[in-house]
Amino acid sequence: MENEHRQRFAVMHLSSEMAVFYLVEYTCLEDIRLLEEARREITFGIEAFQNGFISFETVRDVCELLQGFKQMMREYACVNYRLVATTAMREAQNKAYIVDQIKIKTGLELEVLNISVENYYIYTALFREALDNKFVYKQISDNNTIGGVRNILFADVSSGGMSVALYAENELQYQHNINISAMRIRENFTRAQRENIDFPQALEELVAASVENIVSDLQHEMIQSVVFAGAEVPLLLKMLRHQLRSGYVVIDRLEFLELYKSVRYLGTVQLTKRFGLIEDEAEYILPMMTIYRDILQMTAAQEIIVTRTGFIQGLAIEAVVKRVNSDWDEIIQKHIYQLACAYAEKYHYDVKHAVAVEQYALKIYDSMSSVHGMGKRERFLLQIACVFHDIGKHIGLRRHYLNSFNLVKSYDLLGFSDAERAIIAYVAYFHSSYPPDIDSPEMHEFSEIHRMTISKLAAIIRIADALDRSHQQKISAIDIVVEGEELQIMMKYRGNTALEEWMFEEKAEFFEEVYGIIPILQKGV
Amino acid sequence: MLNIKNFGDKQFFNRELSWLKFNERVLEEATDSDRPMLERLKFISIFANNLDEFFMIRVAGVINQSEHDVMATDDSGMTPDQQLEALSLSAHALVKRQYSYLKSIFDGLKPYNIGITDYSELSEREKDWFQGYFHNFIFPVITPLGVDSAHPFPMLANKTINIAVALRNNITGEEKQAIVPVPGILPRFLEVPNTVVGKKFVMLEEVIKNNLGDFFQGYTIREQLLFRVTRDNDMEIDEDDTDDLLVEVARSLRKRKRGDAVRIEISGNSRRLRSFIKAGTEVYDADIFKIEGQLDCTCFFKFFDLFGAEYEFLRQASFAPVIPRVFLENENVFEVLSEKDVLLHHPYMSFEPVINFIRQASEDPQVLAIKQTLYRVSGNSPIVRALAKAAENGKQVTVLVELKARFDEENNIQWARRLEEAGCHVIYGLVGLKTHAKISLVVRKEGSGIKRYVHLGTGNYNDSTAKIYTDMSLMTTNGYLCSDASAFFNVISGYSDPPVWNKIAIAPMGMRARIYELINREIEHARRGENARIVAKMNSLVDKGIVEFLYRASGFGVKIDLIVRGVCVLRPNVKGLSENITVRSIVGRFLEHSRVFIFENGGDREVFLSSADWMPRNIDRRVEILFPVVDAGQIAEICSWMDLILKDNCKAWELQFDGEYKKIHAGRHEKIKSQRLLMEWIIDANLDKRPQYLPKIQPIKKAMNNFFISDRR
Repeated sequence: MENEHRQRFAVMHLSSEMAVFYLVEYTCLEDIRLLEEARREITFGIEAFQNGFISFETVRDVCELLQGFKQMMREYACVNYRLVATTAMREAQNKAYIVDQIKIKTGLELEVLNISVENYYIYTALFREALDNKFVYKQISDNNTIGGVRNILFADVSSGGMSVALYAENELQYQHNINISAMRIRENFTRAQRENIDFPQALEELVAASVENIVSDLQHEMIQSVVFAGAEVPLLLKMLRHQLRSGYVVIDRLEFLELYKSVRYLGTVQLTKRFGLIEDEAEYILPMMTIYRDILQMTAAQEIIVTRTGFIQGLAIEAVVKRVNSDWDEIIQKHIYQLACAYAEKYHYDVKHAVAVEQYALKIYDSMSSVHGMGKRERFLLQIACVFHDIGKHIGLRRHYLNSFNLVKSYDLLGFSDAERAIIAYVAYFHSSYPPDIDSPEMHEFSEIHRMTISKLAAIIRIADALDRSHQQKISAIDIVVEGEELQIMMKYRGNTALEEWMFEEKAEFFEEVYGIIPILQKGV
Repeated sequence: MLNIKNFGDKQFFNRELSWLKFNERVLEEATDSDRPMLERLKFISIFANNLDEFFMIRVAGVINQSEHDVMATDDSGMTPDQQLEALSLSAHALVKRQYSYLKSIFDGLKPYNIGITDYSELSEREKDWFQGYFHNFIFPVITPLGVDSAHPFPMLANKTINIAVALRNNITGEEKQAIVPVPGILPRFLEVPNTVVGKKFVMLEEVIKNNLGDFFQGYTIREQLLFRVTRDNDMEIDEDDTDDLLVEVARSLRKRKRGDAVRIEISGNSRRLRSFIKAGTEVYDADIFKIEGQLDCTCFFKFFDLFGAEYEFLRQASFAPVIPRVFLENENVFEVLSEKDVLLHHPYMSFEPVINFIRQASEDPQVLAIKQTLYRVSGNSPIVRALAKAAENGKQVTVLVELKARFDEENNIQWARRLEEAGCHVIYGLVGLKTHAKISLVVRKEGSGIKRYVHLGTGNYNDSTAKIYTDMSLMTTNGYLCSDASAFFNVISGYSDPPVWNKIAIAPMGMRARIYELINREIEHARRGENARIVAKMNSLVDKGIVEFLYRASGFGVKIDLIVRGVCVLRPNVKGLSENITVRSIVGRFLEHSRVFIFENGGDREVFLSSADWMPRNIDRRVEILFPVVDAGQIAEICSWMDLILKDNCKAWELQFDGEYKKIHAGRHEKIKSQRLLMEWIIDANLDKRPQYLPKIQPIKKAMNNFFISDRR
């Protein structure tokens, strides 16, 4: 029966202001059907942003709600789920206790996602929507040929913060997060201040100062479309008088700016009357509109796509991708790779060297899968570490690996958990300095398995880096076989490779220590 | 902008008086000469039952306002005192008319030797027989209550009949009063035995009155007076203070017997006992009704059942609701609905498919979940049984049982408990809101994935009333409606805040705005010179905001035809206010109950059905659903039904600008009785009209030899 292939999956999200339940049925990535969506307001954000922790009373209410979500899963005979929390929980000092209580009271495992992963899901969903609905392409002209690709700025404005991503020239070129949101702004001003005549200007200055960096990063970009997404969208849609449960609407730049002008000096009462809002909503209007306006003004885009798609859909896509055959993972991985390269470029890295090291490292990795026992994800971590391994040189050549380490650790690269990011940072760190010492105190933050990953990947990047020690790409290709206790690397080369050979020999020591295999460099014919 | 002249208070009718006008129309049904006698008697009972409720709730409310010295006027410009005065005047006149109709009905029954006999007219033998009955059955269950300085006037239960008795002590000469309750557990109609032809009855209270002496040994009965008390019976529950609503409703049910008296009906003459009762119950003079006949005419519901098959000619031919052909051809509701949405018009069409929907769902192995609202369910509800069964079969069953349904609470609590025991997730209503929406949802796992089936209705899931009330049901698999239904249950289960709805509108969030929007859209059409029309059918029209929108629409030339069975505060046919609005009311064999709203929308007609009347109570304080019918064929069908109802010239009353209802007469035109015609239409439409044999047309391509010969033969 066809039935057998249909699966159901529930994703649940505890955001700063909403508990969201989203249950889909799917056969493949192209066939995801939404069965049930429920959203109920919660107060995680207000509590976490104001007090630094979330009260147990609220947790109890949320547990009761989660029981309801479980009931909905039963109603659809759905057993697989993912329950995640974002900003507010991330910032709550008592998050570990909350995760524990939720597990005890509901049996549900709650994952608290970091901002990189959160934004990764958002980007996944928005990019997929852009692709499906073809806003990545310029107008399809009369004779039906596609007139090139558009540059799109994706902007997600949520209660916890905002994130922008620039997709241009067919690549993900830029992504940045800022800790500013309508909710945070509202919590930071008193009611009297918000009702003051000077508030709009103060607000504009505050927002402008917060987004300054992004403005300067994007100033030379030709951006044709802006996508507005995030938790504030329903309110924005209400202001635009669009009734939308899912999907998107396209509005004109002018329409938005006119709306902004018309609300700029309206008080809460007038807002509630004119737009049929409740008072609570009205208080978010100005901060929200100001943030969206500043984003719009970073671009010359005439067209704004306001979409209800976002985090939860991204989470669902991820869940499905994991369970079906799809090349989607690779497409998005490519975007992240592009983003990593764009970040490295900021530090004027030696592209040719990085590419050579990456090529050698991946070749070694692929040829010894039976030896290292790691998978696709670790391969990707290695690849990103190769991109980043030398970026610290831009800061200073002395102990450049430490600089690389710090630059990687402080960068919220899309899609990596804290542990993964640390792995990348350490692998970059160990590419040239002393080999890792599993038992050293700084490694204690890692689990056993992560420590092993660091060592195993470091062993590979070290010999890969050695193969282009001169940064001259003298070795044009390598061939690898694992034979007995040897990893034989045959190289095609030009010129004198003495430096590479000596370095290789030096770095081979640690490799042998990790894998019990001796890497041997052989000159090819 | 349109200039609606300021009509001030005259814009609206008083809703209580309008309600009495409705009951008057019910009463007039008792005079319909086309109707068999016992059926006419039924309308006397309905009238009485309605009036009881009216006093218990509405009049009680106005008295309450008056006693709290509310001086403010209502929308019609009347103070509570003025309203009470007008209500009393009107109610007294109606009751007088009621008993004169009752008398003429019994006059009409005389030729069949059916009647209620005075005790005094009984033969001695018959009197002996009843005396025996009194001693064996009545005497043991009665406890008379003495009233004196030590024993204050007792708190008599709502709607009970009692006999006030004035006594004198045979020795001391001391005067005393007592009250003898007429027991509710005994039949009111006692058949006179051995009647040769026909059926004769004596009223229970008459038997008691004539044998009273046995209760008061040593006293002389000086006077006696039969009376019935009606009490304030509107219950309010403070939901904030209670954790367990179930317990609270049970408690308040007991309290309800103890409301203030709002009406006394008396039968007999005794000035002394009248003031005794008045003082004891603290009712106003205006609320004392002198009855010329049997107290409590609701008893005639039972009278109806006392006649067997040999009296069938006194009853209306029974009517069997039609089961739509699609369900006769295929009993599997899910298969039928997978093909096509089904619209049912009850009671012309049977409620059985709706019951089957739940029943089949409860047993179908593919069904995962059932969700359902229950407002008033019948005594032995098959739906409740099916839901319990479903839970026992391992399905996820969620039921919202509305405990606050007026007068039915006791009933509902029992179902709720039973369902919970079976394993259903029972929601005992929502804090602060009554859930009046009628909706059920079935989630089924099919080959092509999860599929949802929804039933939406204008009436309750009550298989008994579905035989008497006109209502509509939509059974659908429409993706938008199903997704809305699902979201609706998530909202009332507390899992979700209200989403953006695809198709439906929900009270108290958004329905009012939606109705305004729809009326406004007609106004826009009218302004563009297009055809603009609204046909709206409901039970009551009381909402001031909507009425004002309708006035506005009328001013712009929107043609508005309202079919409002009961209360209507809108004043039609007034130049400069409502000249484009007509209001009519249908009162007939079936209780008009469907809520249907048709908006012309410039030719692209939209039809909505709803559980809600246009009353603030429904739109602001209840959870209700307004849903569209999307199938073009069904839209056409509903429009044709409404057209027919608007053409009714037998059972229709037209509201005049002065608040009077004028019966529409066919005159020389063809008689159109919409309920009867709908019955016929629907039976007719359901007949299998496919030809039994379809001849296949086959052209003859080659001339055959015998062709012409055979033709000639």
